[in-house]
Amino acid sequence: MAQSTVRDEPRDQTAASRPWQVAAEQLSNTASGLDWLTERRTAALVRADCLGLPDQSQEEWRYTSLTPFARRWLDHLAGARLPAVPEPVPPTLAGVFSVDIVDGRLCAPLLATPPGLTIQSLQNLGAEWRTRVEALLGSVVSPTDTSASDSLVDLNTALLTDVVLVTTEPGASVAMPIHIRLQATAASALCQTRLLVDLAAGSRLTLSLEFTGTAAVLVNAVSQMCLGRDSELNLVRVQALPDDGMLLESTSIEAKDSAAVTVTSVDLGGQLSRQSLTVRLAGTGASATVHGLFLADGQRHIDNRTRLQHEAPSTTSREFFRGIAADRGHGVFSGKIIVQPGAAGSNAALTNRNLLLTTTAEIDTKPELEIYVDDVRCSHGATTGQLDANALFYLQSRGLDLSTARQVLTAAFLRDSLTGIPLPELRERLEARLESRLQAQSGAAR
Amino acid sequence: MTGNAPNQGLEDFMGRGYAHGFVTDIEADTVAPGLSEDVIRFISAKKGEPEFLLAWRLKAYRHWLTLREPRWAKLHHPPIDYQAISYYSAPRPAPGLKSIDEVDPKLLQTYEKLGIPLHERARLAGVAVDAVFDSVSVTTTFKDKLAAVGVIFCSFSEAVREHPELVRKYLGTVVPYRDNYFAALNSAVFTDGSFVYIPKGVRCPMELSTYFRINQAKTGQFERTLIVAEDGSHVSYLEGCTAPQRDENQLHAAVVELVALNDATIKYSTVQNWYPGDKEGRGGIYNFVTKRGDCRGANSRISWTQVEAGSAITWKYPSCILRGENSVGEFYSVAVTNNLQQADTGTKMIHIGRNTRSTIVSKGISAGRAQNAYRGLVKILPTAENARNYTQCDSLLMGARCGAHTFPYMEVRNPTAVVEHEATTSRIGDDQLFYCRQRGISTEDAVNLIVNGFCKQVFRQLPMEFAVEAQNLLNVSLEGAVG
Amino acid sequence: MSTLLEVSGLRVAVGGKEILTGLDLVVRPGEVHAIMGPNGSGKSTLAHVLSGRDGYVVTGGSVSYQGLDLLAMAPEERARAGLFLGFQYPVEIPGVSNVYLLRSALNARRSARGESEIDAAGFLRLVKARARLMQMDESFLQRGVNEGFSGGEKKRNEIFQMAVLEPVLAILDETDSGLDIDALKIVSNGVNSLRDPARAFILVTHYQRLLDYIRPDFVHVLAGGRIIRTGDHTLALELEADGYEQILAAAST
Repeated sequence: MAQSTVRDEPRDQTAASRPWQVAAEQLSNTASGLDWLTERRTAALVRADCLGLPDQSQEEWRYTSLTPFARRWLDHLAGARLPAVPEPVPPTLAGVFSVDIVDGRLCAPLLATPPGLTIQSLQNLGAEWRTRVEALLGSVVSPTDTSASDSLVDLNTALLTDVVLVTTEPGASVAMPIHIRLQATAASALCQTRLLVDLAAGSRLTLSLEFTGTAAVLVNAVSQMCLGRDSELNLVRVQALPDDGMLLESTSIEAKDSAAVTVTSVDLGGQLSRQSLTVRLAGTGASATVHGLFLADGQRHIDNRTRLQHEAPSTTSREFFRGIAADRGHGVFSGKIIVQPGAAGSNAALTNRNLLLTTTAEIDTKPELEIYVDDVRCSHGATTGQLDANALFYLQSRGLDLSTARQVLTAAFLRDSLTGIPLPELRERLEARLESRLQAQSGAAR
Repeated sequence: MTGNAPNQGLEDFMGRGYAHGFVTDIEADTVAPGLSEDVIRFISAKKGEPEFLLAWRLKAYRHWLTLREPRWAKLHHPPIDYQAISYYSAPRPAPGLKSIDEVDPKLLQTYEKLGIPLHERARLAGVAVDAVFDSVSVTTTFKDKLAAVGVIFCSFSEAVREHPELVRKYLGTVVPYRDNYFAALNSAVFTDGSFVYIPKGVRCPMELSTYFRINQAKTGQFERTLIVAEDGSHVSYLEGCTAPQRDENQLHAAVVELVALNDATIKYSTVQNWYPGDKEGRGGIYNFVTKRGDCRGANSRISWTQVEAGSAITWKYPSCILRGENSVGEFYSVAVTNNLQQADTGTKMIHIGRNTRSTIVSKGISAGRAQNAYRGLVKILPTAENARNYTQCDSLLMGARCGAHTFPYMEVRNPTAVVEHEATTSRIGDDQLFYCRQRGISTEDAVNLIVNGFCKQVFRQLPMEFAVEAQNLLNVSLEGAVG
Repeated sequence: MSTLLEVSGLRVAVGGKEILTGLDLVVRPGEVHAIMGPNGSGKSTLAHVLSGRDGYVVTGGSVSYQGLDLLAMAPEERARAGLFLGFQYPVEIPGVSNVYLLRSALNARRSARGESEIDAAGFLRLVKARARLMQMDESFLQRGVNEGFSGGEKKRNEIFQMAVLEPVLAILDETDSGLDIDALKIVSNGVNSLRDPARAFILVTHYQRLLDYIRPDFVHVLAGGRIIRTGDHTLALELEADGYEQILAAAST
């Protein structure tokens, strides 16, 4: 069985290595007034303090160092922030229901939410949801994913400023996509976002999350989603932070019997971005499809860790992850498929394709299979390389110059991952952004 | 079988899968258990080693003391008590014999029983054998014939005595003593092993082979093998290993270093059949081995082929450092685990030179309650223009309680490189089984047939006479795996 | 003439659903029976039950083969007793060469009959002769069983295996599907050359065109899990002209 990383060396005890203590002290001056939350915070802080921030000696963090993150956090806490340059806030998309969460806080007032949907925050949390929220705040993202139980979730619990809860009614099919913009500003040293999504049995929801922020922001986001029996979630997640922003993100999705989740994840911004996505296929016949895409150009470090966990019989997962690294960018992908004992009849496949465009860039990829039952069909494939020489030649023979040919093929490589995004305007906007970045890329390469 | 079969009978029945579990009753010089600088000085003195080697051993030992056992592999075992192991055991009379006639007949019988006759008249044709028994080499066959073409094939101890300059030049240059925990331990306490030197332009006229046998209780085997292939030379080397059936675990921590210079080829094959422990997981060898080849020269080639069927625990990653331009690294592996065996095995291909190529084919078979993991690293450094890697990794599961795992790492830092990895995990197809049975083949034979087909790509890489042995070994290892 | 196979009142369920609902069929040595029927009528179920595939539950009736209770026998026992199934979807077995599979199969049958293993030279002669009959390149013999074969090559390989194993009763399950006209001729020639007074065939097929090349002694129409009409080869032509619907309608009135 998966072994949790137990560290027995004493942690560095100097305040300099424990920014969370400083943060917690600052936070304690602005008490929430919710006693139960204070208890949760304290417990989480103790755990986080024991573990410290993840470091590269841990297998899960092999390719990503949080040293620059911790350093900047301390700087921010000391008030040494860069003057905030407001980023242009993307225009609201048409045909969606927009929600803003700024520095972790749900922005009021909300327009009337679409029928079948409820959005609550700590301030207006219905009494019937109290216990559920309390339980989720007390647990790590995934109780069975011990490798993910690093301190980030506890840090979020200890330091969060709000909790946003999105729920659906049983059987409700929410027609309008919900677009949540998660904005981080200079107002918080480290923006803590906590999002809980609970889909009742038989309900359907399309949800897109877009991370944006002002200069040099730090974000630690935690999302927990639970899909009831026969429900369907179409989730889009876009990381579009400014070039010097940093995001740490832990997402856990649990799918009950016959529930289906589709995730499309896109990383195109940030200086450092680390997403940890765990999907638990916990009910018979549950299924998951994950599409991922990252563009690690400039100085970007983008790390995606996914874990598809088959816990029940006849569960299915399909994952397609693509990445491009250019300039001095560093792309990391580790995708694990786990089939637990008892998950007979599971079927899982993962495909990872990467393009490496320059000598100074790097791509590290680690597709993994962990299988504990024989009645399975699992496969993964991964490639890292360059554009297909034959395809390039074909386009050149049709009169395209090399740089255009490259651009065309690279754009096609990216577009494949975006086709599943059910918000046409968002998809077009992403395509345009990616293509203009690639144009700059192929201009520079030639 | 009758209901009241005596225990002994039952025990034989349980152990029938392992044919090499007997013990040779022979007098031995065995040093008391425990590890210290004194023990290391004792081993070094026993072998009459030059000062530089003792100094190296001691440096390794002092470094080892600062290390901790690696924990990253998917292996679980009770802590190993390094002070409970005897680090030197040699059959009497002491080695250094001039002629095979002086070797204790019991030893000759042992090897005969293992299918490796050492005596002149019965020797395997075309295969030269170095026979290592516990801590020492018993004899090496065909030495004269090999010497005639300039090939040196002898025990490591003899190489230290006769060719110290070569040992000094290459020892620890591929696997430094600082490399890892078990390599450091081995560097401190290694007792024997094989040494091969193929001079410039020589194609070794016969297969070279070392047969490792652990016999004494409470000992470990720590051998060291060094193969150097000079410019334009070629050698094929095979190792086999067995041990008696005992209830306690025994440690085997070997180091193998290969050096291939310009245009040289080394083919290294292993059929590993250490005692795997019984059906309840009692006993068996802990096999922690560091094997690495250095393709130092341009156009050099190192090819690893392994059939890992034995051992309670296997921890080994035969690797290639592809330094020379156009050099080629290959890794072909079959790992079979049954009952409570655990294997964490794979390879590392480090691409440094231009146009370097590597191929990895791994076939894992897991049955019973066994856990079988492939772990591999393909690393392309910025200097490795046009590097290519292809990895194929397939796992077969037999039974609802076993596990098969795949952990490949791909680190690419050159945009002209292409790295491809494919892996599958499944059980034997019901449709395949039915197809065979419809043709009249019994379920058990069908399973053997399908499993052997699954491993064909790897077996094809073995020298002919060992391919058959490997195939039989596979069938025996999986005995009882299908209900 | 003695009876080779006698199926009486056979009822078979798959996944709780009854597919064969009381099927009767008698096959004597030397005969060729064609079993035709619309999709889902139970044709392939019959072929699979007779060969002993898992997943089929016999809920009633009996099958006697050479006087033995066929349903009590393991698939390999049936095969050793001379029953051969030509698969609709032949299975790929990577790494196991065609000849290796055939030699194992042939020797398993011989040892079941108390005969010694076939000698290497004799085996090779037999295999090469049969490969020629099926116009198969000898390289196919060394290739993995059906590994990377085209659809037509797989079907030809089935008949080739049949020719080597020389069964007493051959059941060919939709052997004609997916074959072009040349391959259909080769396959039919293969079957015809094996026709023998001691050997019987059951051809399971959806289309009549196979029967242009292999003339059956009996044509049975299978519908709703039982045989609703039996006739000679002209029944197939009638089916071709009128379609299944008319016959089904006629049978239900």
